[in-house]
Amino acid sequence: MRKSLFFVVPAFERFALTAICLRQLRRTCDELERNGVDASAVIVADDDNLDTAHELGFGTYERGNAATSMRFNDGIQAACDPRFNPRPADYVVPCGSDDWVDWRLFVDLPDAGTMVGFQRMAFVREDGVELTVRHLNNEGGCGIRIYPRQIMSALAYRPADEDRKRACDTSILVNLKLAGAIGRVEHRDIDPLQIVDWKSPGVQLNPYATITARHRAELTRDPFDILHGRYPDDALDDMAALYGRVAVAA
Amino acid sequence: MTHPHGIYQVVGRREYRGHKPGETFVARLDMNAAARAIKRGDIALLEHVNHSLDSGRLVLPKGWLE
Repeated sequence: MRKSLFFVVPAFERFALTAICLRQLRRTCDELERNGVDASAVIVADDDNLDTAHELGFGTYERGNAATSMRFNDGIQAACDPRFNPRPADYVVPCGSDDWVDWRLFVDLPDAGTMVGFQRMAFVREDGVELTVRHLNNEGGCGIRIYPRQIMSALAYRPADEDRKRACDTSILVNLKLAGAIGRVEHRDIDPLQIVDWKSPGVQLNPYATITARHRAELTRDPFDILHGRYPDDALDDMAALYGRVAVAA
Repeated sequence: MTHPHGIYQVVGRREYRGHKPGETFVARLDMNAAARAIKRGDIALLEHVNHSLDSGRLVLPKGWLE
């Protein structure tokens, strides 16, 4: 039987960047569909990002720019709660509106008591000129994680404190652990570029400089060189145009 | 055990979890920590709340139910 998975993506403004990342998420979901997982996303926003989401066939939940944790809770509940989704997703993955994820991370889905986290992640500097891969040496890894629906059911599908503007991923993990909902944490790593976080000027809760000061570096490169051939040319061309860069020719 | 969300008010003279004196906030606090903070006079529990979705604001993905 095919399993199903929802990505949950709160979005606020940054329309061009979000559109590029949602189009890439559409490709990710399409690849998962071709590889045995029914995948889609719910975008939580109250601005033009909803139109982008609808154009791409994603679900939406309309919520103003309240605490980010409340919006993650909205998306998780929309994905998993059978009172609101008659076909609740088997798995839910919180994700940023500025992230790219490799579809291969989500093909092998865990048992109902296991959360999958990712400790290696690439970050692109706000000017689009530098990419660094970092090892996030904490139990949950980055905020992008695979949670089975059963784990989320322990907290009525709203696992985060409702008032958090930051550290939402930590709030989700801590509350689920306090509730005894997570039996095991598995770390998954397929390659250094499995997740790419695109920083943008002026609006980052965790700027590139903070990331590079806090976590151990594995490599540092030009993003459009190293991502060439690793992510679709169309996505890289769009991102290069946004940053005023030239993508590497195929 | 599921800890309910509550609406709390900062009633002491110090900030609590980044909230200034007099402010209200919604959180799911560890029950022991909340009890201690209430006993110290830092915060007061105004009411328990159950957040949920408004189904009128939700659109499921295209074709998801087909």
